[in-house]
Amino acid sequence: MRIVGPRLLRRTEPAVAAVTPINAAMFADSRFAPVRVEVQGVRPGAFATVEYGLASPAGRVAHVRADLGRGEHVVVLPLPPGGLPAGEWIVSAEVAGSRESVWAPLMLVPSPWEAGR
Amino acid sequence: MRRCAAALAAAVAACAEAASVRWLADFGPPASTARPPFEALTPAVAAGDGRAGWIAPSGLSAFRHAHREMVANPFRGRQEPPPIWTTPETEDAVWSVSTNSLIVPVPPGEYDVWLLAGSSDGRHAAWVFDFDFAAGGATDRVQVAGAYHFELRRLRAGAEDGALRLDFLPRNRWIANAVMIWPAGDATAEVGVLAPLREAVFGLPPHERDHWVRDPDPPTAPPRPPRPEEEARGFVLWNRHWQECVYPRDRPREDELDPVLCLFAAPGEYEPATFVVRPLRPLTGARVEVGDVGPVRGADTDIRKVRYMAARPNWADRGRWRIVPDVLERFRGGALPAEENARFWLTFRIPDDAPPGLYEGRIRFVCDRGAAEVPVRLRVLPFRLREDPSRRYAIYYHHPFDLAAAAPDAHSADYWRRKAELEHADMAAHGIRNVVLSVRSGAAGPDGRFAIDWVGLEAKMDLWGRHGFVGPVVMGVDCDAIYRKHMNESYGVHLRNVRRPPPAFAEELAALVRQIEAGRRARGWPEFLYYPVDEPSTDPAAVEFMSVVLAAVRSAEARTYVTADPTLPGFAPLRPWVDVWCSQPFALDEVAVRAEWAERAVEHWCYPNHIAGENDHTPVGGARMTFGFGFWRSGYRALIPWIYQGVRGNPWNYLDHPSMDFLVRSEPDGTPIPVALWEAYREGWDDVRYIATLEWTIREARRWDAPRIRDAAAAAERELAAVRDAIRAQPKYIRDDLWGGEEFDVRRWQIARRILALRSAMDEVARAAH
Repeated sequence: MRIVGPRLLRRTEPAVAAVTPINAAMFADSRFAPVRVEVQGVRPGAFATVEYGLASPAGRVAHVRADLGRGEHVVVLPLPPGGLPAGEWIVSAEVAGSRESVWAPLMLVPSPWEAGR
Repeated sequence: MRRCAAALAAAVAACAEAASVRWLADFGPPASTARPPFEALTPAVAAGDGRAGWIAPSGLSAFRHAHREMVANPFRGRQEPPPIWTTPETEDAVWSVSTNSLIVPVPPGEYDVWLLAGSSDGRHAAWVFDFDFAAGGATDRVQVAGAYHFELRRLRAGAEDGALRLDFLPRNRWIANAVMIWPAGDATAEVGVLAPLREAVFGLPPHERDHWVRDPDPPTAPPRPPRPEEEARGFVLWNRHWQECVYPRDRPREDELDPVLCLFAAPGEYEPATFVVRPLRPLTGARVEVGDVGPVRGADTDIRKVRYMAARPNWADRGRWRIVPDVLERFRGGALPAEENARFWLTFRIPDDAPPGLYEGRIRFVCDRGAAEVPVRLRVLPFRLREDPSRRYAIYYHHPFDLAAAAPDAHSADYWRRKAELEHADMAAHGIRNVVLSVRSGAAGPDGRFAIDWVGLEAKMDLWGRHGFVGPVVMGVDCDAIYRKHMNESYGVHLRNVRRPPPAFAEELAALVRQIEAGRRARGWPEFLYYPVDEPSTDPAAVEFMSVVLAAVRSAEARTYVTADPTLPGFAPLRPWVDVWCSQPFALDEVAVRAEWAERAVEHWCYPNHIAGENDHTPVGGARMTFGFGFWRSGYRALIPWIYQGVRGNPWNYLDHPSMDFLVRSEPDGTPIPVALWEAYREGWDDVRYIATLEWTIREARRWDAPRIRDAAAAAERELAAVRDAIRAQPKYIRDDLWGGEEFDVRRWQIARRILALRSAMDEVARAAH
């Protein structure tokens, strides 16, 4: 006899299972970052408040809350109007009040349309 | 005053009489019947005595060719839908090579005159009907190319003297299935007569429609109330990256509003951009005005609108359909229906001599209710893109020259030749440098010689050369004709009926290849790769036969080309005989592909059906990845998709015929009309050109003995490796786990930046040295 697992079949508490930027690399002057968020553990028809944001080692620069139902969603993270420094960033998401956060890297590349380039 | 009143009363009476007129004629031979409310009208009916009819009946011909039942396909061993489903109107027609006129008695008034023109007879595949259709001072040119292609045209014509005269003025020949006449703007007739006819010709007839179910629309963003300015002008302006589909009812997300089009490009490069108008109410007088963007003249910018088509989700589906964004049609202005996204597709071409710099411009969308602007920012780069000669971009092709050879008249032949010319230019502009050809020969005659069509092949190779195409040429040969001669039957699709042929078969095939090779060498043409059978199956009889066929080709000292998946164990016996494997996905990993080339000079090519129409025309991002970064990452030597234009049945109906149409459409005069996938091929090709340009620049930089340049070259190599590592390698790039649209552009820009940095470093070192 061979036992395989264990494997999570169903969450009983709301949680963000995955967060993925639609574009893992973006221009540093982008106005928004669309992000795919997968929510689990929410009953059909109910919603969980999800917080998601963009951060670097220097701190969080964008932070949004949204009430999301179970399943996959594309949510939009507004970015600061003046653009951000190029480099590696982190997109994170968690159910409000939860300690269980998920994250994914996001690379910002200097824009081709910066004046003076 | 009294006379005016009487005239007015007469006019009102005439208008009332005209309002009741509806004349619907279905043309065909005497045995053909019409479906009410249409009346049958044969060529024999002459005009006169207040009766509708022809001015010169003696100059007319008629035919009937109905397709109403499933048909047996002996090559595939199954029942299939016919090439088109005909209706009583489309299954018959009247045609002529001479001018003729149809006289239709009607009260004075203004009328809409509709013409349906096309042939349901497959024997007319090479026929072109090119004529003017005129009535009441209005004229329209009608061009119907080949069988199963139908045109539906409207003229608004005034009748003054008790009749409408409809003139058919041929450039070579004309054709008419049906004419419908009713008072101008008769909405009841348009709904009751025209709409069902349109549905039957460009969709499905009622008896077939019952077997089909429409797929649900894809999910979209939640609704949002319009802003005051959107409400006032009557539309929402938004955008999504061009390689991501916009469906008719899609709603924009927050990040898709207030679009700004940002592009960067090298001189000589084409670059697409789109924006979307979602009308809140019906819009009239819509037009798109593109201003100059630095060196790119607005007048030179190609403006198209995405046309939605009913399509099968998979190429051979029968029973499921959905509405998809598909054809990029020229947009010259007009009305837009409410609540249906109108996506405008612009292609900017950067002039060859464009000075580098950052430029701004704008696009204006204007309609009768208001206008809106879309800012454009363009960065022109200071270098031209290089091609990578080690990677070939080819495509399968139904050559119009074959239709020209079978054309019934010189005008039709000229049409097909011009079409081939336009299509080669279009292919060249999209990076294609090679098409699959075939040469007709039949089996050997009693004297052992083959009737090779050198004239036809010379014409194709001449066109090939004039458009800068390069070899080797994948060449189809008449293998089945030789097989039929020896076995008295065809081997069928995928060799499903094949049996072991006598040794004389292989000897004859080898003789054919030797003769073609001698002719090729004498003409100085590039190498031919012999392609005797398409997609053999792994059935042992098929594999054994293929071994015989490939050995025969090899015995004539030529290389072989086989469309089969080399990873399938069933094809293992073919390995000694195959020089070029062409498989659907990137079946082998990069290491294996490079090893086969290094050790045995065996090449691997890919025909990516999954992004060429197999899954309709919507995997646009998959197409760009397949043609660009994915191809670069694969190690494969060529991409050769099926097919530049695959027309199955009616070219404007993707639900007829047993399978889906593929890729590029045609305007009535043969000018190519792209689909989004086709534009994605070019963008993928451009991605590879950026890579090739950086690789070339790194090689140049390596020749310099300057630390600054060496450092820049090392940084460029690291960045290129990082981009390569970011590709999520897959055998088939379709929709899932791909980069988003912006990420493609960022990856391209990472490469462009390194080219700029290297050039800058070399320039500075050179300046310092002087």
